[in-house]
Amino acid sequence: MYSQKLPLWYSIVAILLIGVFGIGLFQAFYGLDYDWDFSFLGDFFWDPKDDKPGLILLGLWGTIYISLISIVIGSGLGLLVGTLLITREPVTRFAAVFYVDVFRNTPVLVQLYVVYFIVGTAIEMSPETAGILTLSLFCSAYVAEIFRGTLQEFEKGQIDAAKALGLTRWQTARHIIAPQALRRMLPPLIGQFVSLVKDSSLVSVISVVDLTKSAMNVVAVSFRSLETWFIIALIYFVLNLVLSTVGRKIEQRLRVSS
Amino acid sequence: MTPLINMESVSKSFATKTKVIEVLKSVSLEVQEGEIVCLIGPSGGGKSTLLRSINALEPINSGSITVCGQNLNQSAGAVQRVRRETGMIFQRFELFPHLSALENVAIGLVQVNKLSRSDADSRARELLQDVGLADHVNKYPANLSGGQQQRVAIARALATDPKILLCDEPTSALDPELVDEVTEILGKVAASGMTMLIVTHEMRFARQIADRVLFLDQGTIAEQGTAEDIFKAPKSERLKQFLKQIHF
Repeated sequence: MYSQKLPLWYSIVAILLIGVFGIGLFQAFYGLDYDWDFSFLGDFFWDPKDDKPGLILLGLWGTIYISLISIVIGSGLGLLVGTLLITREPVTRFAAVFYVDVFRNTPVLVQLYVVYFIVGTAIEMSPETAGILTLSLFCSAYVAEIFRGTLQEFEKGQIDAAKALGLTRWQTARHIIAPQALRRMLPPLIGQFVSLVKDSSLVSVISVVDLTKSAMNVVAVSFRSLETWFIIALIYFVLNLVLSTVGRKIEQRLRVSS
Repeated sequence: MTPLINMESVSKSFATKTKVIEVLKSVSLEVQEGEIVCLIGPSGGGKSTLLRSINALEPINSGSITVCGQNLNQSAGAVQRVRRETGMIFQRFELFPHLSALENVAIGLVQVNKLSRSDADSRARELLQDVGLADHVNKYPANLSGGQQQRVAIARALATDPKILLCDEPTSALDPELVDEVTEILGKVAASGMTMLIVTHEMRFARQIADRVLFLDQGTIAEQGTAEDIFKAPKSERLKQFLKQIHF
């Protein structure tokens, strides 16, 4: 590919801007005149008294577990709703559009309250179940939209070519549409999954033990909120970094094999 | 001899917001085995629609189409059987971009003809060699020129041993200097005894290859005859005007 060399002063300006930002940040922290101490957090990762995982590790496990199950259920449900979004049957399509609109246009926090306090009371649901259910429904609405967009954009010419060859509908879906659709859906899907991991912090409000809930408990015991939240943010960052990197790797592999 | 393709008063129309457009007005056509038929005419005349109705890519409103003894109106099974007996080449090639040249040609052999992977691959290799692409079997469509892509598409269409080859403007999307490599191969296919219907704007090509030329205008076959008749001695005013417009 043709690449043009940028003038050197572009990089100099960039370094200056980052420098100014860095100094500002340093000033802000230094100006706090706060006695930073991260050492106490070790005990909350691994409990030395009982020699078992501490609050933070338990919370991390909760976040991973809840996010993972919600992503799996949400994706499956999303593919189903996504196909309903493009059905020609008007009542089904309208219902699917309504479903997607409801879950995309209301705050997850409100959805969580409704599921836990109203639905959950009627049919007895543990906080974990309510949290996973809400996140799955929320996730499925976005996955459905991504799926619909990908399918509707799919080139009609390729489908004609597959039909003309004598491939059945199933063979066309399996060998022509699916491999290409998967590759196109991957970047927006990974973005959605990263979002979901962050949104999963909301389940702490119905006292599900996740990273955020654990952080609250640690702060309540230690009174060191700055250090705690700093580390918790770092853990979320690393978690999502891993997720995006894996996504990027899969994307690359799919591209190489084409 | 029973014709390979038999269309009887086929009509097709679609409605826009303001009016109903009749694309085909009660068209009847018989094509014998081994015949090469070229369809020419102004755009919007119904050429592509006629061609695409033969393998049911375009549904029709009335009339009947029988291809290789299968009546297309009868069942989904008949449609599937007709599609197995016909190959099609498209203006914009329509290769599958996630598959290599070899895989594009092999997919029909594996999925439709149920050949084993290795048999399909060796057959696909032969077909690609026939269209002069022996060195490009593992390339993906994005890395092939338009002419090469169209040649892969021809190999793909021929892979399943069709009785009829339908060509929808096979050279219209090509750069002028790449047209000959494609018409040359289509000429070879024609010489092998294949029954072909070709929608084309290449009048020189049509004149060389066609046993019969159909002039389609406003949804009807306005005039038909041998290439000599149509190009040397056009009868209708519309055909005369059309040939004049394209400076033939």
